[in-house]
Amino acid sequence: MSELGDAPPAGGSPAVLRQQVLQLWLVSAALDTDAVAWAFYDGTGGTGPAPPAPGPDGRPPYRSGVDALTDGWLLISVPPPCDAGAPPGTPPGALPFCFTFERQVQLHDPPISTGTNPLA
Amino acid sequence: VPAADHRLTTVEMARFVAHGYLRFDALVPAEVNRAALDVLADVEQAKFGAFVGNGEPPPDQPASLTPLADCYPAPSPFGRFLRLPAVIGIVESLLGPNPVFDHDFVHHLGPGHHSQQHLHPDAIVDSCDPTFDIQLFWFPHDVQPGAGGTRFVPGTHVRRAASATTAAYQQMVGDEWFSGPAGTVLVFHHGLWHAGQANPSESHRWMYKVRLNPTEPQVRRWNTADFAAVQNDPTDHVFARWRHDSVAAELRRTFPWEGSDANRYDLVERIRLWRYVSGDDHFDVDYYLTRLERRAALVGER
Repeated sequence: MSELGDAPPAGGSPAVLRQQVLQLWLVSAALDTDAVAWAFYDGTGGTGPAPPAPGPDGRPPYRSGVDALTDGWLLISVPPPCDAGAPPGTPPGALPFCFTFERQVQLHDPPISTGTNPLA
Repeated sequence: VPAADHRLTTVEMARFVAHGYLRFDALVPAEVNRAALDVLADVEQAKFGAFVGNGEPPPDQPASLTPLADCYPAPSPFGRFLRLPAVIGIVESLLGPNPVFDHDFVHHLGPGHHSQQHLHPDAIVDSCDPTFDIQLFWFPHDVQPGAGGTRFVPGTHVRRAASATTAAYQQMVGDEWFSGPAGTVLVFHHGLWHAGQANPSESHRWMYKVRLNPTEPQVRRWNTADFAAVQNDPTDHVFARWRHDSVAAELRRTFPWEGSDANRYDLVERIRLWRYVSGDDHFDVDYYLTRLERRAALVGER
């Protein structure tokens, strides 16, 4: 966990950093192509900015990866290259073009973690 | 289609091959739905108890490999469902004669049920050949939108993705969430990606699901009265000459989550599946396999 060293507000606790993560699966390796699947994970426990709202009729929150960049999301991973031309008889599998973005959020009163492994 | 023949038509079979499922609204009579609802809670309790090692399964629980015709003797509501002429026709069309029982389960979501499954196929261990099982999802009561209807993604059945990977797709363009009238039956290819949902409503959501296996080749088991009329030849190519009333037209679907490249890979898998069920090794759509097979023949790889 990263903690910011900035001075706390008067009488408050120091700010800590939390991630919000957005994954977009695009139809190709090009960031400006269409998103067809998505996922959102919130390290702020719901105290940070609201998740990006899906579009109408089940459309993704951003049309493309570039649209997510434009809205302030930071790109942190890109998919590996994908070779063409798997021979017939090799069924396709998972969606190959996953781009992961983050939004860093400073919190002064982070929620208490509930993620401790009870078996640990 | 003769009234007495409840088998699928060729066009319906092609639709199954393209989408990976068929839907039959209010297929099961109200009396059979009510009979199931009378026993589902007890069956669920017995099956779950047996699963966790605390009790025995219901006394009429079939074993895997039991011929379907021998499962759930009268007066079981599950037997009444499985022996409806319409259900027999659907099952015979997709699996051929003498299918066997794989397993079944009662899927119950109580009011306010919070959790939901990750997206998954029911095929963690699977083959690459085109044979397939089917799963019947029977909803014996009305399911309102947002009241726990199963989520599923049409067209995903031809993919061989690990469920641990599909779990990441919280939403996909083209997702569907079941809602519909009592007695509706969804018939899934075993590879179709799907997920149980939360049930924020104030009503129970009950569903009976059964998986069935073929025992004979699944080749032309449907009502083929329209087969010759709609089966296209390998020259049917959307950038040359093509028909709008053929099997190819049914298989030539672009699902919203695919994009153009993935659509071609998926279409090839639909072609392979149609070759299997139709018994036509030369069937093609948009020339994808014919082109490669003719080239391969030039170097003796065929």
